[in-house]
Amino acid sequence: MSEAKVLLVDDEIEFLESASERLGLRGFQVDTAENGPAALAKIEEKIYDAIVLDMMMPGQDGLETLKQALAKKPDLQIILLTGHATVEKGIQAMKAGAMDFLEKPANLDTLAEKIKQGQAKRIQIEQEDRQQAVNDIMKRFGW
Amino acid sequence: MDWKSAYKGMAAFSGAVTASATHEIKNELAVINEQSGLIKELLMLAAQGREVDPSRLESLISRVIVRIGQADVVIKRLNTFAHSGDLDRDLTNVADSVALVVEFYKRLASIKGLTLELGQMPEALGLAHPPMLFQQAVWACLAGAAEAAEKGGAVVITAAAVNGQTEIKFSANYTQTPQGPSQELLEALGCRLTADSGNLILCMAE
Repeated sequence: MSEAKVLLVDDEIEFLESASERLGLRGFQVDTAENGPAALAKIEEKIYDAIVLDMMMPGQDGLETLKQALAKKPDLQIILLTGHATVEKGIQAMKAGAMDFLEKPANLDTLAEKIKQGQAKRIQIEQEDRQQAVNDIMKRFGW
Repeated sequence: MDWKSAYKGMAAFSGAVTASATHEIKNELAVINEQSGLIKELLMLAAQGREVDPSRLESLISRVIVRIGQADVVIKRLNTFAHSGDLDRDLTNVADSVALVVEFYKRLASIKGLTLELGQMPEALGLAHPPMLFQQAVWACLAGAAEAAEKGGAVVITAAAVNGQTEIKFSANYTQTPQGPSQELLEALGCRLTADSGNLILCMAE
């Protein structure tokens, strides 16, 4: 599998700098965004294997960003980060379509593992979509 | 105010303050976690023979120290708040109490796209009330102001002694009428809400 492309979204710049460098040392291609609208703009421009999204951000929060991102690209694999992981928040995140939900401070190796899972899932969805497209063409021509 | 209403209001207020403060501390810990993790990984690379700039490590360590200091400020603030509920305290310094509540509310205001600014606040203003009850009223005013103020703007908080009363004013560009504390809390504090050019004012006897 090629190196995973990940977008880190958090309003805390020092968190973004350190976490992206650490993920970079593990071989990930990392982009960062400091707020929801900036993240949505990057998602439009590029294909990411996973998005790591802070739940509490000024202005547009993580959950709203997640909903808008999935409306644009339903196959996105989004991992939400939160200061306090409660069962209610977890259910809210998963219902909204998050791939997973981690509490801050998160173990970076755990996060890296989740990103790889996101990449594998995205590739699988892409392959299934491609296969479906081929099947549709074959069906249309009666092959 | 009956004790059940008083308890509910106070529990909700204390819970909201604690939740906001611990969230701030968690954020600091998350940054410290990443920075210290990065230091460890850079040192491991150095041990394997990779060149690591010592000034980079020094800068990261300095940032960790700054973030520990910031977390400590929030913990001290939370401790001050906890002690403002001490039963033997029945006097309130207005400037100190307002500043404390404003600091706690800043994060929530920022999430709503607002900033909080402390304006003129005479040091000597005092009230014959337990601090936590007064702080609860200020919190309710801030919540009401943040809900009603135009997003992207500021809520400015000032205090003044006017005709034997203490007035705490919450000024902003309001898009709707700001709400304040419950009637029960206002009665318990012996204070009232007024408005001046649409701004929210908490008036109480000195």
